[in-house]
Amino acid sequence: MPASILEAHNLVKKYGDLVAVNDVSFAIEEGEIFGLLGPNGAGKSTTISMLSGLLPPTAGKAIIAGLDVVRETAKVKQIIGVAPQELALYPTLTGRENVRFFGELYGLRGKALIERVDEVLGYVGMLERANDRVQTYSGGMKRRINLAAALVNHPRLLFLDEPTVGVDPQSRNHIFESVERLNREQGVSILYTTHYMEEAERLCHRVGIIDRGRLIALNTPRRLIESLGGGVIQLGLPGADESVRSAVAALPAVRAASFLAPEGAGLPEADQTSATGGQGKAILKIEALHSNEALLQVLHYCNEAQLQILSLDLLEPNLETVFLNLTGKSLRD
Amino acid sequence: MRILSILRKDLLILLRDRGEMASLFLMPLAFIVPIALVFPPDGYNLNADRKPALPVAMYDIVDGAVGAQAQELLDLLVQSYALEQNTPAEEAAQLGPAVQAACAKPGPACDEAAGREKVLRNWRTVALIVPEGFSAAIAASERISVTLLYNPARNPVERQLAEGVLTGATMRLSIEHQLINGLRQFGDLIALAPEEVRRNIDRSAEFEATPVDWSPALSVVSVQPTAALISVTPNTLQQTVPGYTVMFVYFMIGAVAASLKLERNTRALRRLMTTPVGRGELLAGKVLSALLVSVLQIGVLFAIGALFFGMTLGNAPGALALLTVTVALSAVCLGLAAAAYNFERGLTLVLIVAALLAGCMFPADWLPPVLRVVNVFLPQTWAMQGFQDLITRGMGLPEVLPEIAALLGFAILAFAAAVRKFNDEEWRR
Ligand SMILES: Nc1ncnc2c1ncn2[C@@H]1O[C@H](COP(=O)(O)OP(=O)(O)O)[C@@H](O)[C@H]1O
Ligand SMILES: [Mg+2]
Repeated sequence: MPASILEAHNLVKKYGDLVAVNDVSFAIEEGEIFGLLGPNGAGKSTTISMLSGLLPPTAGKAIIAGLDVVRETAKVKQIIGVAPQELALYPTLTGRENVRFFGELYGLRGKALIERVDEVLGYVGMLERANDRVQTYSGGMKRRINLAAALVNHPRLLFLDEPTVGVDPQSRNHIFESVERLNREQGVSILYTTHYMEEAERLCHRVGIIDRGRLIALNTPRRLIESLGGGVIQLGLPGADESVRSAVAALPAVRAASFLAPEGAGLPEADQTSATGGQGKAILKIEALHSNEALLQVLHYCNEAQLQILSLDLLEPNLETVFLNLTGKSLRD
Repeated sequence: MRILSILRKDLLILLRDRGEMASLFLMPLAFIVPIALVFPPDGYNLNADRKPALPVAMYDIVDGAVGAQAQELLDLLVQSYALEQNTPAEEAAQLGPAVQAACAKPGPACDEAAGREKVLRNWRTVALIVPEGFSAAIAASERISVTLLYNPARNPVERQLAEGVLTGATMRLSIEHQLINGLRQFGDLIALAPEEVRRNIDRSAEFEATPVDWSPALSVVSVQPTAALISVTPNTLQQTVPGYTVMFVYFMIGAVAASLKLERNTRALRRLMTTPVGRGELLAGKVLSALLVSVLQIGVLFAIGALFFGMTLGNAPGALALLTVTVALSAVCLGLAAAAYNFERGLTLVLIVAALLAGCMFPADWLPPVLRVVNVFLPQTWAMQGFQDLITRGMGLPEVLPEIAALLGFAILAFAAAVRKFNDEEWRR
């Protein structure tokens, strides 16, 4: 069993009445890329702040490389690198000056500093523009410098908080490759937060799905997707009621069926149905054991029951669908 | 070592902020240069005369009239100065009870008292006292001195000018008389003497002593009144250069606040808190960098005043340097406080009004007394007063210690308030 570089034990963060992080526990193994996937406001950044010693947790504790983050913050800081969600850079300094400054704060000096700065700038592909001021960079280039600054101290554990927000495709690829290389070649463990499921699927060895402060699922991307079974069908059925739902749920190829709140669906019919007594239950979400058979059975049932189908979606089995299946909401807002 | 890194970073950021640099260095010059070029040197001195005035106390009265040689001296001086004698009663009253008392009986004692007071009040650069027996001594080629009272706070050039004129006049007088006495011994040469000299010889017939010493018999003694008594209206440069320098030094408050705000808004501060750097180091780096820029600012502005406009810098460079650092420190610490309490909107207006009340734009003496009480609470007032003590009044370190203490007080209070406000959550936000 590989040792854990990070352990989060029942972390809680409250802001007044708001519970931003609610009893979150997980562990990251040495050399692992661990993803925290969740929509905006789920509590990802707050979790990272507690894990990196920025915020004291309301309850629970975090251990990094055997050190208590709250009590041994100074030692922990030497081990970790943090690329915050916001571009925590000085706009009027050049990319190189920024990286160099953060390197100096870790005690790097002289030749070692110069070499390391060049190395990390090369890593993120920013050597050419390194002597331009950060304010002249595109969003993607700023992100790459942001990542470089987090790497300068040779961290064993890297926190990347939504590192690809507002990034052009070229920079995005650069960041992906840097992250993969760092992990593969230098064995850096990474906590990667995102609300893009493709990123979590592509990069992460394991993914924790977080919503409203709670960790609601944790597994490898493959296992998470497999948990969907035969896939998910979304059916727009105006006028459908509880009897329809239970009838659909009882079909042999269907594992479960539930109504989806119409808010995210954006169907104009939603208003209409609620007006006709459908109580807003316009979209039926059907978890299939086997998608083809379930589809046939559902269509057959609707036909028999003379239910009008307004829309039909067969959802791709991916983490987005996993999230939707777990929360009834979309990852993006 | 980390402090140095932070200092360098903050210095770079400050120096690259063109807007802030312009308001620190160019804005004060935009005021100083036109005022220095356009206004007369005594632009702020409401009592300044067009022709330099010279109060004279004439004690050398022979038979109810000014002694002949003394009169010659006055005739020479009148070419360069508007002589003030026979102080009128209203003027004496204006100069205070002591002068009024001395002027109960008109005469040289009254003129001396008036002259002294005018110098003390800096209405005049110098005052002349001609002692009793002046004419007799000159005629006898004996040693005698006149007294030139001067105000050390005024531009020394003005004083040197007065000394020069006076020395020139007295030398001419005494040498002339020595020469005449000499010539009398060589009677046959008298015929060769020019008309004017011959007339003088006739008049000097009353003196029989022969000169034994050919060096100038008359000397000028310059006397400086005690500094504590001097109340001074600064000249245009002494007012304008420190005034606008002080005004814009405190614009550093905005620059420091902006730099901290940038750090917070970009979340760079948050990232800093994930590195091993301490809060104390962060603050120290920021304070030191801003302090350097502020000291540089004052230095550059004073240097421009001194080099291009002939502003004087007083007699105590050490005290001036110390005061400069203290002023800069108070500005920087107030900047931290402004950042901590998010005081940003309206800051410029407050700084302008404060500068006005503190006497940065015109002498604070012109303000109504009510406002002069208010401005005790403004660091600008103390900064201005300190610089005026050193530059305009020619004082030294002991006299500006109260100002330095007051400014340090402002700095410490502001720093403490800032640190208090930057509690943990603030830093991490
Ligand atoms: N300093 C704060 N004060 C109050 N509420 C906060 C603060 N920081 C975050 N929150 C709230 O906590 C929740 C989680 O925020 P965050 O961790 O930033 O989410 P994420 O990074 O997943 O988008 C949000 O509802 C957010 O509004
Ligand atoms: Mg976030």
